Parts: sequence; structure tokens; C-alpha cells
Amino acid sequence: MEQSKTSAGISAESAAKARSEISTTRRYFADMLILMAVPAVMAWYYYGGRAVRLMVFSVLTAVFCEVAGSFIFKIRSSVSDLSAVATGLMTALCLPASAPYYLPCIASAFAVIAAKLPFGNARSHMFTPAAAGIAFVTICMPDKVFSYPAILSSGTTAVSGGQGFFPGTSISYMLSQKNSVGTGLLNYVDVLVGSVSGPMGTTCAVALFGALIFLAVRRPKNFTVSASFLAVCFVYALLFPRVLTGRFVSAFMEICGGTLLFSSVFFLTDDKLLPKSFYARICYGAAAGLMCMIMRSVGKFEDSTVFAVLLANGLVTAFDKLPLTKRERRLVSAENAKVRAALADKLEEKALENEKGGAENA
Amino acid sequence: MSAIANLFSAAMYAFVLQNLIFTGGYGASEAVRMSAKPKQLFPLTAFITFFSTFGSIFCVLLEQIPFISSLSEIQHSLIFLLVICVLYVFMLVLLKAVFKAKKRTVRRLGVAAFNTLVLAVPFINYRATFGIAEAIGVGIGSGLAFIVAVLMINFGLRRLVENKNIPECFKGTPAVFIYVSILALAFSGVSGKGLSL
Amino acid sequence: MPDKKKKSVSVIRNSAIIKNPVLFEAIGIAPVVAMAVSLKSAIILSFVSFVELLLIECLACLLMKKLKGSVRKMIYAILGLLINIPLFLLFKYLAPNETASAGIFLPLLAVNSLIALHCERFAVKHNFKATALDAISAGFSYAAVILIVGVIREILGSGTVYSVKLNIPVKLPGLLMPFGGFLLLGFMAAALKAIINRKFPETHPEASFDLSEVKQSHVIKLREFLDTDLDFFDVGEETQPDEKAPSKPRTDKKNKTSKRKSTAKSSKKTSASSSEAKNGGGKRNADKNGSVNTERQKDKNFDYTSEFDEILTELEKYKQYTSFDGDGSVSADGADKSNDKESGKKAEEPKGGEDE
Repeated sequence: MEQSKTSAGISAESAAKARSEISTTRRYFADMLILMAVPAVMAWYYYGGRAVRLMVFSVLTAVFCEVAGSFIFKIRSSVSDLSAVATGLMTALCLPASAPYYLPCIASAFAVIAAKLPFGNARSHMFTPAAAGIAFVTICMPDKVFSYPAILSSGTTAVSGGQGFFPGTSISYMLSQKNSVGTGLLNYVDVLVGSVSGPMGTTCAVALFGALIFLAVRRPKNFTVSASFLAVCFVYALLFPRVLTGRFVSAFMEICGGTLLFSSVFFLTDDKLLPKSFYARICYGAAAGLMCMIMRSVGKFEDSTVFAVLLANGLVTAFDKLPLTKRERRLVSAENAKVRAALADKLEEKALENEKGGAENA
Repeated sequence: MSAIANLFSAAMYAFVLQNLIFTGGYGASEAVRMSAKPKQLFPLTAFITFFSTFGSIFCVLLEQIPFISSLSEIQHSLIFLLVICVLYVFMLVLLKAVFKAKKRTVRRLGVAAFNTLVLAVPFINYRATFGIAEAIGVGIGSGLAFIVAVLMINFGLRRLVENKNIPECFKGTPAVFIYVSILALAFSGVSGKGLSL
Repeated sequence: MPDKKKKSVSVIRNSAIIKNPVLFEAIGIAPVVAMAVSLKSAIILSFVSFVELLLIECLACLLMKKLKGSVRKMIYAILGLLINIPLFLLFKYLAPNETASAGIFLPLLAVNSLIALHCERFAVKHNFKATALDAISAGFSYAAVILIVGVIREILGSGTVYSVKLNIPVKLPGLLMPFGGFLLLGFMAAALKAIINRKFPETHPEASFDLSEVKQSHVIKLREFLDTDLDFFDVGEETQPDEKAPSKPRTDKKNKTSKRKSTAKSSKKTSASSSEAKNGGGKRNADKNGSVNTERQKDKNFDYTSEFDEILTELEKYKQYTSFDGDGSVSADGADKSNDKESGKKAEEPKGGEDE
């Protein structure tokens, strides 16, 4: 009877712990969805209904794969933590508005089924699922991923390669060809407000800088990674410019081009993939930035940010070995002492119980 | 100077741009199995680097002999394997007689000598008609690639072991394979443009 | 006779399914992920691997038992290449394009780790009949995996089967790269594991891949954190949590959970706090009533009940898995079935198979 009570006690406490973890995750992804609202609206503004349809299909695919995958793999579905919705939206925003409808669906499906569910759920995944999904479709169909529509006044966008499709030139393509915005081909303001060709949710730099400010205020730990990532990318672009019209133009283009800014806000700041200490987060962001810029210079694709994100995810454990700050060490040692002491008390009580039990049996 | 540049670029090619384990698949099973045995990591990776580098050098040197360079690919494969066997015997004698190595370390020698990664390196040099400098670079690069692969998989294994949420059917090698596949996906994003060789 | 038949069935089942060389032991992955990109190349690869494995295992059983292990490994590679050469020439005659597309992987099959491991683990330790059975079953299972991977990758990656075009609307050529091979192996292993768990619930295929060293490092970290003065092994076998533990939810659970598993360095550095812990939580003997620190008892904001479950489960597993030597070293021991009531996990057997 006591054992069953205890078992019920364990299950109740485990369930409470699981609920609290889910609500923490839900808060994080709710924040991410709020941050993605502005880029999503801008995508609709520039590309019209097609952008919205892509986003909807991507989200629905992610949710469906989460439910179906949880059923097949026999784990508890965690759609309520909004991770699938956020993953679907992130995936869609990193793709061009002229992508065929199956492209974000394939990316979302891969993100959930291959990068998330085999490792459990959004609280235990090992890689940023959306980054893995984008990386997968980039490898499989680079021509579709890097084919961007021009911004048209009519606001209608056709599928790439299809009838009525007008190709545009993205900033990352210009960088790969060593063409600069500084020659007057593009307006700097256009670049900031997103009136340039590119992935539909990553071109509006103003919205993404606003998201960074939101992160700095609301989630400073996550912001640390973003800040160090962007700082290293900026310095690298200053030191090794790919365009000849000035270092600051180069840095401006690198930061605003491709999915770099978007990744700094949404991919690298995944709560469960952050190193634990302050120095580790700085180094993690810096390493991701360095890998991103090197890959952009020598890699196969015009934008390799997502691959750098995946590599950085794989190195999180290495960064955890870095020393803690003084404050972190004090906090950790205080916690450790409490847990150690409480465990010692508990073990002592069990020893007494066992003795009693042994005496009774005797 | 150009020899050093060639050596460096060949090493970077084998190490990063076309990481032989993740983008080529060579030595994948050794990398995955050894990543679960971190205590034997250092001797194994040292041996692999030794065999790949010196195997590379000797195979390229033998290639300079006109008779050998005229042989077919199958005959080349025999020669490459014989070179590795000679290096293996030399290292075995050295370890047992001079260093009095433990049995476990000597067992690792066999794994390090006879695997797809070490035997692939002379083939890569042969097909790309590399010189000695590039051959040394590819040998060193493949050793580094193996070290990086094992370390990165080991980091993942530590997290997988602590992860209690993995579905039952994915516990063990299934999750390891999926983890390695996404690492390989990340490395695939690098390969392609490359440095000039 | 029925015993012999049972033993043969058991050998076949173990070699082919429970300890599938590719899917559970991670042996011979390289040719599968790099070369099995079409049905034709998969057929070549599986045939050559099967013949090599069968012949070399039989030869090892008959002739090489008395040789030293270090010498045998060299002989396996040489024999592998000698067997490979005529097969290579045969396929070059029958299917020159596919043989050419196989690249350098056909000669590399000579040093496939599958051969060396099976020979060392089985061939030199068993009789000829068992060895032949093992070779045939492992060879068939390896071939089956290669063929399935090859077919799926060809269909999804190239949109063809045996070079016959299928009308597939979307092709994923990325799957033809090695990462696609790893991905398929992962899902195939998961599917086979699910089938094994249903049909043979007493077996543990995950034990084929030895993670004991990685787990030990995790448990050692835990022990160092918990202070090795605490003598857990005399306390008892109960792992039930305390019913009367305070049930108020923690305010800062996230930080606590993440910081509890911090490195041993940070826990060692805190001499002040550890001495405080030792005063209250040092080695406790059963006869002591225990001078419980009133500060800790009054700290009702923290609820460690759920932490205890996790810690005690880990300790219980550690206790069953290793024996604690007096000098602080650990040695692997036979494992009893662990009794994880929370997650209802199955028992974990000790590592199987030969050390490489």
C-alpha cells in the first residue's frame, strides 16, 4: 500500500516536473513566435499570399510529423510546447517565397523526424531542428533554395523556374560574386527594410535587430551567444572583406545577407543547446561565427550559416568544459552543497529504516 | 615554400573540406566504435596518423619507380596493402620489443593499420597523382580528420548517455547513427569549392 | 539433437538479428554509407562481402587458431584482397560501369572491420560448423542491410531502381551522400530494434554497442560531485523516495538541474561548502542518529525529491554495474537487471563481443 502510494507520489512529482519543463519550453517558443511575427508579416508584405501559404504548409507539416512521429516512436507528443509550430515557421522563413510547396514541407519533416524526435523532444534534442531541415534541403536542392524572386510591385510571386517567375539577386550571391551594394546598385535602406531578394523572412534587418533587442532584455543568456556570434562575423568581415568597396560595406553585407542575422536570433539561441556558463556561451557564439564566415568563404554554397550552426551544436559539450565565472561558481557550489547535504540526510534515513526493518525481521 | 603550401592545402582538404570520415565515409565504423572508448583514443589516433602518413609517403615514393607506376589499379592495391603490412610489422616490433606496450595497445595497432581510412589514403594520392608534399598533407589531414570525428562523436555520445528522453527504439546505435548523420550533413556543407590542389 | 538445433538457431539469431553487425554493432559501415547508393552497386558490395566473410572465417577457423592475434589481423587483410581481386575482375567483366562507379571501395572491402571482428570473436574460438553458421548468418544480414539501403537510396536519391526510371515527383540527391547512408542506417536500426523488442523482449540489442566507458565517465562525474566520502553501498537497496519530503515546488529548478551536473572541478574548488556538507553529510553510520543541520531542514523552498529519484537511480545502476575498489578505481562487473521503476526501462546487459 505504501509502495503504491510512493509510486503514485513519484508519478505525480514526475508529471509535475514534466509539466513545468513543458511550460518553460512553451514560454521560450512563444517568445520566438512573437519575434518571428514581424519577419512573417514583412514576408507577406513583399511576397503576398504565396509566402503565407508556404508558412502554413510548413507549420502544418511540422505539427503533423510531430504527432505522427510521436505515435510511431511511442513517445509522448509535445505539440503543446509550440516547438513544432516554431520549427515549421523558422524553416519557411529561411526559404525563398518562390520555393515549390513541397520544399518547406520536406525541410520541416526532416527537422522534426530526423533532427528532433529520435532524441526525444524539444527539451532534449541535440541539434537545432530547423537548421538541420534547411541544411538538408540545401544539400538536396540548392538550385531551389538559392533561387530568389525579385521584389515586384504587384506583390505576386510565382514558383521558381515556373511561368511568371522573375529572379532576383540576393546579397549573399552578390558577396559570392564579389559584387557590392556600395556601387549604387542597391539602396542601403532597401537592405535594412528587406526590399531585396533573399529568404523571405531573413531580409528585413530592422525587424531582426529589433528581435535582438528583445532578446537582450528578456533573455540575456541567449543574447550573449547572438552578440558574440555577430561580433565575430562583423570583425571577420572587416578583416577579410569579400568586396572591394570598403570594409564597412563588406561587414554590412555579410551581416544582412543570407540567414546570418536570422540564425543569430533563432537558431543559435535554442535554450536547450546553450552552454551553461557565461564564458562558454561567448566562445560558443564566437566559434559559430568563425565557422560561418570561413564556410561562406570556402564552402560550396553562397550561404552556409546553417551548417556552421549544426557544427556549433555538436561542440556544445566541449564548451561546457570552460571555467565558470566567480558568481556562477558560488551559485553552483551553494546548490551542490544543498543537494549533497539533503542526499546525505535521505540516505541516513534510509539506513535507519533498513536497520529497523532488519531488526523487525530478526 | 610551394611544397609547404601544397602540404598544408592537401591537409586542409583531407581534414576539413572533404573530411574523409564524414563526407567520404572512410573509417566510419572505427570512428564510431572508438568514440565510445575514450580511454584508448590517443594511441589509436596516433597510430592511424602514423600509418596514413607514412603509408602515403612510401606509396608515393614507390610510385616514382616506372615499373610500379605502370601496374594496374588492382596491382597497386596489393602494393599499398603490402606497404601497410610492412609498417604494421615494424610498429608491432617497436611496440613489443622497445616500448613493452600493453596487450590492449597492441590490439589497437591492428585496428589502426587495417581499416578503410588508412588504405584509402594511398588510393586518393594515386588517383589524384599527388606528389610527396601533398601525400604527407593528406596523411596528416586524414589523421586529424579521424581525431576530430572521434571527438565530435564522443561529445555526442556523452549527451546521448545522459539523455533520458530518447525513444526506446532509438536507444543505442540508432540515435548514434542519426547524430553522426547530422554531423556529416554539417560537414557536407563545407565540401565542394575547396582550395586549389 | 534438438539442443544442437536450438544452439544453431540461437547462433543464427544472434549473428543476423540481435547483434546485427551494421545496425547494432556499427561494424563495416564505410562501404554501406559510401558505396551502397544503387541496387547494382549494393549487389556487388553484398556479394563480395559475403564471399569474403565466409571464406576468411572458415580459413581462420581451420588454419589460424594457433597464430597470434596480431599476425592474424594482417593475414585477414591480405586474404581479403586476394579474394577480392578475382571477384573484382569478374564484376568488371559482368558490370563494368557499376564496378567503375564503385571506385576504390571494392578494394577497400578487404579491410572491412566486419571480417576481422567476426574472425577474432567467433572463428578462432569455435568449431567449423558454428563458424560457418555465424559467417553465413552475419554475411546474409550484412548483405540484407546493404541491399535495403541501396534500394532506398536509389529510389529516393536518383528516382530509379536498377537503373529503371520511376516517376517520382521529388528526388533527394542528398541521400546519396554518406550522411544519407547514416540516416537510413539509424532508422533501419530503430525499426529492427522495435521488432526485436516485441518478438524477443528478453534480448537487448543495445548491449552490442559498448557504451560502458562513456557511461562510466558520466557516473564518475556524478560520484565526484556527490563526494566519495559518502559510502553508498552499505546503505541499502531501497530506491524509494522519501514520502515525507517537502513537496513545495522549487523556484529555480532549471538552474539547479543544470548546475547540479557541473564539472567535478567546480565542485572540488568549493572547499568551504564541501566542508559544510561534510559536517552535516559526511560518512553516516547506521547507528548514528545524525546531527542533521537545522539550516538544511528549514530550507523548505527546495524540493529535492525528484532529484533524489534520479540520483539514486544512477547510483543504483552504478552499484550494480561496477564494484568499487578501495583505491578508488572501478572495475566492470556483471550487471544485474536494473530496476528503474520510473521509466520502466529494460535491463541492460554487460557489453557483448570482442574488444577491438
